[in-house]
Amino acid sequence: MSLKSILLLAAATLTLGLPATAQNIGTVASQEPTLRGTPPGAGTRNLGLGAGVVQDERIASSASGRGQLLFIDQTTLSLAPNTTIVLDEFVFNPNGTGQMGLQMTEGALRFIGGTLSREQDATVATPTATIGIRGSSALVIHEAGETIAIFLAGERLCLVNQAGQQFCTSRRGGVLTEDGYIGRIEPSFLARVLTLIDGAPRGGGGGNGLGSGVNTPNPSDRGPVSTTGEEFDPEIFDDDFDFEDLIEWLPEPEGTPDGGGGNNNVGGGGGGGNNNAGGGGGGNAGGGGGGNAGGGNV
Amino acid sequence: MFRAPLLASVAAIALFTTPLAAQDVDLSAQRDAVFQQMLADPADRSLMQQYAQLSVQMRDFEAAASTLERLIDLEPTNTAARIELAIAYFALGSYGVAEYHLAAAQASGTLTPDQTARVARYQLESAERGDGSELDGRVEAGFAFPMESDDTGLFFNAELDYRFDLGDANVTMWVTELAYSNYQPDDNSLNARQNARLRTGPEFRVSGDAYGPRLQPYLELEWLDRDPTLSIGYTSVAVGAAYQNPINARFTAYGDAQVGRASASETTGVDFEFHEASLGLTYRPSRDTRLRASAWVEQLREVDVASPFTTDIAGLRLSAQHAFDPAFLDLPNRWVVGGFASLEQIDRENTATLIEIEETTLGAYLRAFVFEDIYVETGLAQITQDSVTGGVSSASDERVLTVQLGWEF
Repeated sequence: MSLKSILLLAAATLTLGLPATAQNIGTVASQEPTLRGTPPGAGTRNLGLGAGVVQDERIASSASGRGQLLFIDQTTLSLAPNTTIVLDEFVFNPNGTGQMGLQMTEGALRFIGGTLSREQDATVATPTATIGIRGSSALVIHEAGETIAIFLAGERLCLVNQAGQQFCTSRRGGVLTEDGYIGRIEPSFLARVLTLIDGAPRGGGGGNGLGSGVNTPNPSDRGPVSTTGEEFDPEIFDDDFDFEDLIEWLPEPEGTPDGGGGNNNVGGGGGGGNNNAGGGGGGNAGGGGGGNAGGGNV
Repeated sequence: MFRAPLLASVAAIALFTTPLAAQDVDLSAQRDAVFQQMLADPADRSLMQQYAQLSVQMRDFEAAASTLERLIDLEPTNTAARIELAIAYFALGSYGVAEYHLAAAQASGTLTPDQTARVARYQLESAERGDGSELDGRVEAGFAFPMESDDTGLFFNAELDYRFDLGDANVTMWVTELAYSNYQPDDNSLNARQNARLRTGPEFRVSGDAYGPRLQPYLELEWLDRDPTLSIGYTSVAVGAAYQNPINARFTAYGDAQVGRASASETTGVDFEFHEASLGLTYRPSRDTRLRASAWVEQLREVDVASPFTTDIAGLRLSAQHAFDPAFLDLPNRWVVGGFASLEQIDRENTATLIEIEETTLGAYLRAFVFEDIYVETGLAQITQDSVTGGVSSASDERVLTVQLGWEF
């Protein structure tokens, strides 16, 4: 390495306040007006758009600052004003496994999960609780000595208090505190938290959307989908009579033997005699399982 | 008997899944490459767009939401992006957050008429959904035209589903489903029937995950009313459990098992006990398309008679349906086209008689919405039976056309 290169590297390291060996685990994806970062063993620096962040770095927003961090596993953190976090655990293996954990000593954040929280909990530790987030998006607030965690979407959210008690919810909009599950979030409180993290919505601009394609399908008959694309089929066990059931009650084809000891059974898929319960095709008396594939929603 | 259709089912699913699995890998690789560029330049709009589009194609609406959150950070007055963000949260079932952003978009004062209609539509849907109690149902009436017999007739179906939220952290629901049907061919026919079913029981999230396995133990009551001269009407009571589990974005497994007893309505009828089990797999190559393969077995045994009949039933079914927005109409609800094929074997015997029936059914239907909640459904099916009774074989066919008008709410 030439002397010039060494000098440039030393200058860059001093400027950024970063150890030369630190590896970026994420980047500042938006900020307003600034975030400040303190990497381990280095001085505090301003984090501009595109600045890298490293493990064990302390990141703080000012009273008027907020920002978004994008991590290499595609996790996104949005920080409210007056929020301080420490990125104290981040292991991301090439095969997608690893762990993510951070401390939040004060403030509020929105966690939108990436690869690392798909299979196991990512953790957010506050002074009074540890929140586990798996396959999910969540809001976490620590203010006035109390921690509040709100489950937004995905699989589930858990909170362990200082007494070691664990509380979990899979209810979208469910709220956990150190005292346990306290119910669904009130819209006014949700608006307050989102405004805290994102700032008040601003109008007047119009603008072009991103063109993500998210709004292409008609919403009318789609159920919610997990963060990995799973969704329930709401009609699997529907007990209504649909086209297939209808066919089962229609007259037997001409010439069908009368299997019911004289009964002219026309139902139950030709089960003969008295045996309509259960019906042909898994339709009647149970209705689920084999039946009900027709006419439903996707 | 079932080997051929079973192999056909496996082959059909393999045929669909193999290229789609490769497509998934390709999309994932493309998205990873875009993400690496985006890490270096997180405010690049083109990269954000590519990343969000690929995420939506991969059904990863969470990643699309995070990208849109960033765009709104960077362009706080961009109302169109805020609507997209609301829709991404809507897709994730986060209806409260979706409503927040929809309200903010509405309050911006900059919406075009199209955007206004879209926002209103999603606001309505968001308000109706959510992890809360829910009542929905369907009413249908129509004509059935069997082509080989003279039993053309009117039919009427009604269904009411109520999901009562028990309010706990894992959204345990008490699910009650009530269905009623009535078929009335002409006055000379013995084939008129009425049927009602009630199923009720709690639905649990077994693992505590929102998209983990769900189990519903239930009680089911059924009533069948037929012409008294047939002596086949009954009331039945059964207990059972229904299970479903989305394995991943494409596959969902489900099953149902029940045991029960039926009491004949007429004194000339015969009581019977029954038990049944079914298993199925749903495959979704896209969010709009669904294929199902299901199999079931069932046994019904007459009781309290000198020479009781026992009926064994086994069946296999493949079905498919696809929902689409008809290009020539601007409707808020999509049309559904579907088809199915089923094979069922029924063996009924007592000490003196053996009856074997093999029935195949093929059908197709189209549900066309003409208003938001009103649809016209047309179906056509062919039913073929081969049977052997006391060693005597016979075969028969029937084709059925149905037309019905429905309202869902």
